[in-house]
Amino acid sequence: MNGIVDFSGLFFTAVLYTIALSVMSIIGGTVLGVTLGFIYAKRVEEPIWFKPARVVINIYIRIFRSIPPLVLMFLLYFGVSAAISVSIGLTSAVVISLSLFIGAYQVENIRAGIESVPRGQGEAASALGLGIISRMWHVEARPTFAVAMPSMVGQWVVTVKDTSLASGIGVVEATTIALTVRQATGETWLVFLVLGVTYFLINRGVALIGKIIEQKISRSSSEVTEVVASA
Amino acid sequence: MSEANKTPVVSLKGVIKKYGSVVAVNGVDLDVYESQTVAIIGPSGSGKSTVIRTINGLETHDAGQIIVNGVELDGSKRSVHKVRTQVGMVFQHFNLFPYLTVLDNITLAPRRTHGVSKHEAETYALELLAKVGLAGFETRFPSELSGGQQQRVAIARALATRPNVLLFDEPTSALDPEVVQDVLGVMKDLAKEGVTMIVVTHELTFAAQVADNIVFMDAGHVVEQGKGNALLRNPQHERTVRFLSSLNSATFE
Repeated sequence: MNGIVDFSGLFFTAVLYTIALSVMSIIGGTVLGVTLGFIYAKRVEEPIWFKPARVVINIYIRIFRSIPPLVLMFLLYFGVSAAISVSIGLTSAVVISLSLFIGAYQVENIRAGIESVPRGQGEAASALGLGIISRMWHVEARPTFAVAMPSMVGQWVVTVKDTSLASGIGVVEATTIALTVRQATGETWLVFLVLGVTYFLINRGVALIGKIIEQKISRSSSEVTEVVASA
Repeated sequence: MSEANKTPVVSLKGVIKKYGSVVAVNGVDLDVYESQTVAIIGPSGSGKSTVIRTINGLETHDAGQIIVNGVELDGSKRSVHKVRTQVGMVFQHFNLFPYLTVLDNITLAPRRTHGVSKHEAETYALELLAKVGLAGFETRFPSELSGGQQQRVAIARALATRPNVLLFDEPTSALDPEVVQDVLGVMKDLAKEGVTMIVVTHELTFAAQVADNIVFMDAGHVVEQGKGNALLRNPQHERTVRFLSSLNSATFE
């Protein structure tokens, strides 16, 4: 058992790296997904260029929801440098792959959120002469995220889990170290148990952050606890 | 309530609107002059809501001419936008923005579309709230208000951009009977002040009391229109007579 404890420092560093990869990929994927999602949602009135943009976004979604993230990492890390002389760093390959992968799902989450905003509000915004940006920010944003957040947080958890795939391209993160420790000490059960608990704890943290954000968003809309009976 | 100006503020000529093969509006002519209140009545499916929605471009007409404040709706986004900055609309289902306070609902468009400063917009908003009988409600959220209150906020919101014309699409149809009069009261005050209003409504008493012109529509056509009470007291067309009598038999006297 002593052998394992010797590796704890190494493991801890690797866990930090896993968290770093997760955070970068979550941010990348969410920013991408939210930006594209707001364009992808169908509205009665929209800028002209939204329509062709939607075609492009649709292609992006279909491609990146159909390829396993590990394969994306292979493509970016090994494939790109084999094809052209530019090589993408390990961290970049992982973060870009996961961002593109998660982004494709976040687009749909956002789209569902926006399309759940009642049509009448869009009409009121139009009748008031509000432009698309005002409409997105003031009318659509809050209800969209209130609806989309649970699914978005789900995707964040997936992102954290998928960082373990990076071990497949040689990235030294938590899973990689776990495998190394198992190799070195032969303690299979304990090593994988600790690894599992580690991911569990990280994702509990993610879920907690998600919950806090959700509460902040819905805070001001439902302060009513009683029904107003009369005018 | 006079037809002082020769040029109508809102003018529809031969307006047609189709949904696929269904012709919702089938050649409608309508002129509304400054300070007039025009009521459009008719059975469901008569096209009256569609007509009013073509005036601010929520529906794009397929044929005919629509001119609002001298601007013709020619299918361009610019013309639609220009009209919308001068025309306000009140909807049957209020359509307030639930995540904004009453005050923010009212000040949003003036600040974002008309470049009004926050202070100026809020001052005017409070004035309008007092005018519709809702002073003190500015920090509430729409979900905390009754239907009648929400609709009055909606009226204040429409007035906040200082429009020339106000469109009302069945403003009281979704309200409980006891609060209908509150909203109609506000509308009557606006009419007295000389606001140009086009109101699609089922409230014949209101139309009789307030409207300068009552337009009866059926199956996409304007069947007849009459100044003030004339149409209600003395309908000329058989369809008008049928419609009015069907409403009479449904009153709760």
